[in-house]
Amino acid sequence: MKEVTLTVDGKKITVPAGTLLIDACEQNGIYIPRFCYHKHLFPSGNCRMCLVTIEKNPKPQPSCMTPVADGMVVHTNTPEVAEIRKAVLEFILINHPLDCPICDKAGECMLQDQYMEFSGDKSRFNETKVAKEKLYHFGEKIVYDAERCILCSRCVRITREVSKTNKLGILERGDRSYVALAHGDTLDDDPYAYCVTDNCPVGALTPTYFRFKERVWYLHKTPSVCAGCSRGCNIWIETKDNVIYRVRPRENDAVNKSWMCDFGREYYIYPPKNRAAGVKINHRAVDYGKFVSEVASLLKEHTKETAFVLSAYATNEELTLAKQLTEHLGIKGIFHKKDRVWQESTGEIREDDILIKEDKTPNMAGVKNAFPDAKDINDMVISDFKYAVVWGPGAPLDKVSGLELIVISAMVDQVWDKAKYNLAGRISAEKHGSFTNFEGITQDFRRAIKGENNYDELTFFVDLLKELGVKPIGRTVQEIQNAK
Amino acid sequence: MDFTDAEKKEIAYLRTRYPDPRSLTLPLMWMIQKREGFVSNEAVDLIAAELEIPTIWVEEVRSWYSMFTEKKEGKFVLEVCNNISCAMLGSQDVIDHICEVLKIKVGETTPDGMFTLKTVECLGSCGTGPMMQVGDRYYELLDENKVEQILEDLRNGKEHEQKPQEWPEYK
Repeated sequence: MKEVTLTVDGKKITVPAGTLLIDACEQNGIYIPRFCYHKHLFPSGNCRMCLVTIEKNPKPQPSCMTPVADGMVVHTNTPEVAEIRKAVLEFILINHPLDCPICDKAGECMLQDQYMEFSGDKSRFNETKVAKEKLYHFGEKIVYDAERCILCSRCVRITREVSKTNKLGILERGDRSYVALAHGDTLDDDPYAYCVTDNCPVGALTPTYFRFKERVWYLHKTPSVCAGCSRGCNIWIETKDNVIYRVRPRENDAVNKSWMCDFGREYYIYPPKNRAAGVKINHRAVDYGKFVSEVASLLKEHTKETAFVLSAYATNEELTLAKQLTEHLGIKGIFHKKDRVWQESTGEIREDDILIKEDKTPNMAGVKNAFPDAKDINDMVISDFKYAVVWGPGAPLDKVSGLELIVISAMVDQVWDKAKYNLAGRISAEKHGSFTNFEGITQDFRRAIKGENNYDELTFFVDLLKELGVKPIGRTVQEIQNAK
Repeated sequence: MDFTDAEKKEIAYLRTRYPDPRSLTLPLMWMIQKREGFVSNEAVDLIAAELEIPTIWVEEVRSWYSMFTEKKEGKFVLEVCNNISCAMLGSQDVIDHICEVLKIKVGETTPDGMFTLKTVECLGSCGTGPMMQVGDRYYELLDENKVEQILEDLRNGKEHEQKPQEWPEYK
């Protein structure tokens, strides 16, 4: 591709032709403030915050709408540009209500940050601010505050370009303008609706699940990977005191860009009610050590009659240990299953051409990599086995008889209730490990919250291997990853 | 609500003139506005369905242009200029007088559905202010007596011929 060389603040930079000036500067360490420009949206050029001066050009130019040209000489740190930024901020703040103390965006608001960095001036506007609607429900999920809105149109472009529902638009003109839905419409059936709240530069669009719940600076952000489907969107899980308050997409150009679907978010925000707890044998709570030794001796005795059903929620590191275990014991009957399948009644979308995949489990590719010979559970001949280690929920074994079940699962289902041996597992927010998505991209995630009254599967496999007298490949995620 | 057969014929012709159907939003909205006097939400749905574009795009156009109204207005819409030239020549007196005669406020419609009073920005007739527009017709050099006469004539259906305005003699 053709490259062009330009000068920004006296520094020569070379970028591919056609790059926008704002991106060219950012790639070379010069941040240009912006409100309406978003890397993954078509530029709109309406906020004027990214104005820079270009030599031989009589007026300042919006860098988000200006493609680079050979020999361009750009200034972004002159007193003139600083003056322009102050003026733009003063205009934007004319009708902004400055209700930061009650605004959920305070602390991560682009308007706050950029005002503190580039202006800090007092307003010269002594007249009455335009009053607008403060509480406009865009359906159940999102609330809009027209006064805080700076009309950058990011949300409008998200519904046009990302979710392609074309639900939002800007009505009226001038200082009466506001973002709105068509009459009688809601954002509830837009599967990417929460993305408009993440990318709102101010507090105009807020998700109802997070409104007035917690101040953002108290939240602890953990990088994680969404376990809602096989796309493996990169996410931040934001927690405080072991409670998940908010889930937001983490930027990754290779997987999810800046977006994630609402089902993925709700998967974390509204944790499932049927969580499994404790360790049991014959439906009675037992000591964890006793459970490990009983399961170990059972597996040792009945190797040939034992089926091993894998979980597509398992991390790659757990699968490595499971492989070591089955290889050591010589278990032949290994099966994989889909832990969660799409059900129409939940209202979830089966598949779309944006992010959502049909496979609703996060690590089927990892399972198939670790156990290439594993068969589908639907092909299992029940009469060949007397025992089955069932890992994860959703196994179609609740109706069969003549199988003694050992269930390791984070969820209670009919198989869990039927089992003789139960060990409560953890969901991905409580684990550290990695998932491989449908494209074969392996991504690490960290533990965001502590599991309560349940056991890490990784530790369970380590203990099981030690009980059988084998040295595990590794005792922690790092050790296993380094050993690979 | 639907388009009439004549309107459908017109739409078929207009489609040949505009390659992008979205460009037809304005002509179609004019059809409805002229026929009904306002563009209801139902009409917005109709236009959006006809052009196969999102409903919000049609709503955006309706709210942008002050010529399209969401609610039904009077038979005659009195649009009185309230910008600086007319204001200096006494437009506020004219507006106050209309309010007094019709017993309505700015932005309201008379109970009999005849008149709606609005104030508008400059209509480019500053030399002959105060002035107002009713439909396609300009009424210029207004004063209290003249505006009362115009209202009376409009109510009685008396046609007002649009003539080039005679300029006053300035001494």
